[in-house]
Amino acid sequence: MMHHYQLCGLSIRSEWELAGAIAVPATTGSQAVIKRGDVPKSLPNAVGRGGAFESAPGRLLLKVPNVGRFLVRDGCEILVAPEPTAQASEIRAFLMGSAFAALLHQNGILPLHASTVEVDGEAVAFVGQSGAGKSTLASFLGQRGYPLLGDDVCPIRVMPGLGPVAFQGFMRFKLWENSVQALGKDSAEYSRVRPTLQKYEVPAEHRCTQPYLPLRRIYVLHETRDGQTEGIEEVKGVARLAGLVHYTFRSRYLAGFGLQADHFRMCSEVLGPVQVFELSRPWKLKRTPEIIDWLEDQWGVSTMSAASSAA
Amino acid sequence: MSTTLTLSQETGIGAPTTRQGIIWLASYPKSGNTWFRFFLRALLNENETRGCEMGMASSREVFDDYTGICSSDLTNDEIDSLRPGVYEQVVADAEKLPIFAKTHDACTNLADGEPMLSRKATAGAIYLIRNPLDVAVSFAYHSGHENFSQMPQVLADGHLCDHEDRMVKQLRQQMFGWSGHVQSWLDSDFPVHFMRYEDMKARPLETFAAAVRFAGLQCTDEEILTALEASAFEKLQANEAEHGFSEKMPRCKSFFRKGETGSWRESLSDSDVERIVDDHQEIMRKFDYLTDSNKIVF
Repeated sequence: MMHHYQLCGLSIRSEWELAGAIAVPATTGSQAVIKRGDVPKSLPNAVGRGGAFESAPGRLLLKVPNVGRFLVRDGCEILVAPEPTAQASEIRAFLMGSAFAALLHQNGILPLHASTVEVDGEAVAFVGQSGAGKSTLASFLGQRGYPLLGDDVCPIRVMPGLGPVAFQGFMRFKLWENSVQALGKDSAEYSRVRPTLQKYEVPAEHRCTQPYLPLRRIYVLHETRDGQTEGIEEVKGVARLAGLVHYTFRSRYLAGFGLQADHFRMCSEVLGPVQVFELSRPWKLKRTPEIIDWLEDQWGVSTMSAASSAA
Repeated sequence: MSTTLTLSQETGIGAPTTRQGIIWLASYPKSGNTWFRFFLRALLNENETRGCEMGMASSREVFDDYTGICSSDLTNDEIDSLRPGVYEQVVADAEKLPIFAKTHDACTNLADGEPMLSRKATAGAIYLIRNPLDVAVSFAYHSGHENFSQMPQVLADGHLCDHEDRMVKQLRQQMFGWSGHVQSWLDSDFPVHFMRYEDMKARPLETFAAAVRFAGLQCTDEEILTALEASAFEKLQANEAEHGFSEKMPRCKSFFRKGETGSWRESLSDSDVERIVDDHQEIMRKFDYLTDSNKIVF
C-alpha cells in the first residue's frame, strides 16, 4: 500500500507511513516516490564521500548499520534496501532525516537544520546542531499553543512575490526521555525511534494548517557558560549568511551533487527579508519557559493570545 | 626521569620524520591535554603550514557532519563502527597535515579487530599522563563537586558520556578506568609518545620539545619557549576569567583551577588514597608515581 503526502513542498508517494506528515488523497502523479528497491553497496562515480554516505551528481547513497541502505536519485526517488531486522520506525528515522535532506537539496529546496513554529502567520525557525535544544524549545512552544511547522528540518524556497517561505515538514518531535519528562508527559505513550534508544516520536499538540508560511525570523541557538551574556541579539552583516550556510542540513552532500554554488546563491536569496538572531541561553531544561518569555517579549505577544489564535 | 617516560613506543607503522595523518592527543580527563593543545595552537599559529587542529575526536557535530547521518539515531556500538570512516575522511579532506585531535577515548578495537581511531588515519599519539591522585581531585572539581570520596570509584569506571535518556554533545567514550585507559594506549599498535604532566611542569622545554619532535614538527627552542609563554597556566586562567571556556562543565567553577602537582595531599582522605593506589599501583609504578617501596612520588 502506498501513502500519499504533501511534505516539504513536494507531493510524495511512500511505501512507509511517514509520522507527522500531512496525508493527501491518492493521485496518479507525484514529485517523488519512496519505495523498496535494489540499492548498490557503493556508487560507481562517487565524488563526495563521508563515513556513511557517497554522493555524485543526482545521487546519494546512505549506508546505515543495522537499518539499511538508501539511494536518493534525481530528486524524485528514494529507494530503500532495509536490513532484515529493521523496523519501520528505524527506516523512518533516516528517511525523514538525511535521505529527505538529500531529496530537498536535489529539488533546489534549502533544508535548514531547524525546528520551526508558526507565530502570527509567519514561520520562526530555531537552528542549531544536534543537541542544541531545537526540538525541546519547539515542543515547549507547542505547549504554549504555537503550532509546529516542522521538527529538525525546515524546507525553504524563495517564491515569486512571497519571498522565502518555510514548508510544512515533519510535524512530530523526536525527543529524549529527559525532555519528554520535562514536558510532563509519559514516554510509555509513545513509540521509540529505535528499539534500544530512549528517544521517542512525540506527536505535535498543535500543527500548522498552512502548507507554507513566509519565513521572517531565524534564531541561532547558542549555549552560554557562566559569565557569558544571555539574551537575544540580532546578527548583522556577513555573519547572517555564514549562519545560514553553516546550519544547512547535510551540506556535505553538496560537493558530490555539484550544487555548492547553487546552495550559496540560494542562501543569499533566502536572507533578503529574514532577520537573524542569536539566542544565547544556558542549556537547562528548567529554564526553557523563561527563554520562551524572552521570545514572546520580542514577538510582542502574550501566551494567552498565542494560545487562542492557535485554538 | 625514568627511561620509560622518554621512550616513544615505536611499534607498528614506525616513526616517520613528518607524520601524515592524525596525531591523537590522548589522555584520561584532567591530565594536561588542554594545556598542551593551547601550547600547540600557539606553536602552529606561528607557522600555519606545520599542521592543524580538529577538536575532540568524540565530537557529535564532527561525526554527524562527516558521516552524513545523525548519531542521535544510532546506538553507541553503531556509532563506534562508523568512527574510523570519519577520521579517514577528515584526513582525506585536510589541507594541512598532521592534524592534532584531542581524545579521551581509550584505544580500543572494533569487532573486526581494527582500531576505532583508524589505523589508516592515525599517524601516532601523544599520551598525557598525570598522577591519578591529582586527577581524582581535579576531576571532582571539574564535575562541580568536592565529594572526593566518590573519586576512587570514578577512576575505576568505564565510560564518559554514556547516557541512555538524553543526548549530550560528545559521543560515548570508553575509558576502562584510569589504569585501563593508560594500558589500552600502552597496548596500542600506534606509535605513542608518553609525557607526564609533572614533567611538563617541572621541565617544560625539554618535555614539550620531545613531544614536538615526536610529532615531526620542525621548531627551534626559541619558538617552543614563545609558545610555552603564550600558553602559561596563569594566562589560560586569566583568559577563562574574562571570556569563559567552552570545555568547562556547567557546575564547575573554572576549568583552569590550580594545575598543581600534589594537591591531593590536602583533599583526599587516607582511605581514598589507599583505594586509588591499590587499584592503580601497577601503572603508577610503571610511570614512577609509586616507588618499589610503595612511596607516593609527587
